[in-house]
Amino acid sequence: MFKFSFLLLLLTIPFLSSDIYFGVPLWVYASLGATTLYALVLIFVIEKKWNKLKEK
Amino acid sequence: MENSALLSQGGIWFLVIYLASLILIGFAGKFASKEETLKDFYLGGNGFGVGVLFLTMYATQYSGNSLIGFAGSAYRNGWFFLVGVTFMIAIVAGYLLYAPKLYPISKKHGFITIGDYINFRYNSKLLTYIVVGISIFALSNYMLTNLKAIGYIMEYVTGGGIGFTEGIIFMAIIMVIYETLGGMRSVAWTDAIQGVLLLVGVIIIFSVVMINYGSLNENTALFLQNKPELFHMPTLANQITWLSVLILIFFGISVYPQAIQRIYSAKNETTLRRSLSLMVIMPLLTTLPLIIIAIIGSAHFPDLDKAGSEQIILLMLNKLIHIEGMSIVITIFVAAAIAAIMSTVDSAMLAIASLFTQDIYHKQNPHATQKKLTYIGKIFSWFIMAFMVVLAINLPSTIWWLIQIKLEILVQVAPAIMLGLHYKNLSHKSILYGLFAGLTFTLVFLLSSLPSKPFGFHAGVIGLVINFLVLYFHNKVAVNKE
Repeated sequence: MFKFSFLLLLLTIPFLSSDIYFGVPLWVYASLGATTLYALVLIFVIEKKWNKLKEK
Repeated sequence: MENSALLSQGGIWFLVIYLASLILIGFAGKFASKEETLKDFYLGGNGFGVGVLFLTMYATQYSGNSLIGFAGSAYRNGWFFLVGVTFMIAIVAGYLLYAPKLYPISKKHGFITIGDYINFRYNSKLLTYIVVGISIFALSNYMLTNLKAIGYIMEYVTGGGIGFTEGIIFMAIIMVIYETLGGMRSVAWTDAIQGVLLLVGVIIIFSVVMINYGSLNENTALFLQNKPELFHMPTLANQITWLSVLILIFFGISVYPQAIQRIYSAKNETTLRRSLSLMVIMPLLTTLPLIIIAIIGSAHFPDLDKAGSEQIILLMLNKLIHIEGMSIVITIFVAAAIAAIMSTVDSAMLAIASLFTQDIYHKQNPHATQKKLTYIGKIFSWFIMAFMVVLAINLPSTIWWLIQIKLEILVQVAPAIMLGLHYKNLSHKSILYGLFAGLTFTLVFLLSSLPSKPFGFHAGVIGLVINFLVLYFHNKVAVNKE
């Protein structure tokens, strides 16, 4: 299910404001942060869980 | 736009040398060829290492649209287009749904195309032909839009010195020459150069914009004065569109035939894994900088229309032309844009030629020798390129929208590829019924006066859900009967 977790990124948006910090709205920080986390999880899975994906 | 050449004399020479080097790489690919077989021609023999595989995946996935279209979208939609970073990462997650299982099977059975896998898995000629047909339709679209883009760029950067038509013909001839000389080897090697150009180009342009236009923080007052709407939170309708785009790209772009061909062409599993890991990072180094550049540009050039917005990066660089060395940066940007387009067109052309040769011609002529098949593939490449060039030059804009729907059609083959690997009981009949149901729904909504985005979702996404449901229930009934 982790592969579909990018859909959870949407959940971050409604709870955050568009107040600007250093030129960027708050919700953008959250969305970008979640995207970066998603990228790190994917790299971990590719490098460490590849064989599990093969067997699934 | 004024009719003056954007590239300096030196810039044009750089471009000529770059294009000539692609032909030389074509020859290098030909000399490196070990045998006249489809596997050697379309997969580069025993496969590529991490360097070439990663760069060819990167250059192929990031088309001219990524460089020009994404910037235009970010200009028009502001931070809402941050979804561009997410969906480019999600494509790699889409590969993970099938690549770990498909790769070893492809090596064991010597697959060359997506059709090889479909035929092997489902043993159905009808399903194979339908999947191949849909793939060729989507790839043709890719070629057409990118050929048109290259014509406009050539005309624009040479100030009309090279016209739209001549630009398309000239670039098409270069691509088809190096592709038919060395096949996948030449395409992947040229992609490697094009990938480096694209990445270096984006990083240099990002740095130049930051230094000369200031950071996002420094431009805040200007944003709030000229484009306050770019900071607004996405509305519910925006979020539905966001979700729909993510699903469409997750299932659609990850099953592009040229991407699958690159997965087949990995030297080994480690090579494939490393390349995919690197691909995860690239949206943060390519798409995100482009979005930031375009958003800064929107504060400085607030009143551009859609066509103007797609030239935002060029406008920003052109305004700095008085700065020493800026003509070099503009040359790098133009070369990166041309590289991104060429790497997409050549990969699509190679994939179409392999689909035709392996899945159509070879099936009709099972006793044809490998040498003859390779020859047929090369001839077909010239034919398909000539056909696409004629269409790109002459296709009236009134029917242009028809080819914009390719992803919504292509996404319907995702269940055949992804589920087939995971569910052994799934029959070709279930896949066919699901495919017909999904395609019918999508085409009815796209080709009639009905809304193309029912409930805010792309028709292709709802078609995909119907596709999944039909195949699930058909399969369940079929299994129960047995």
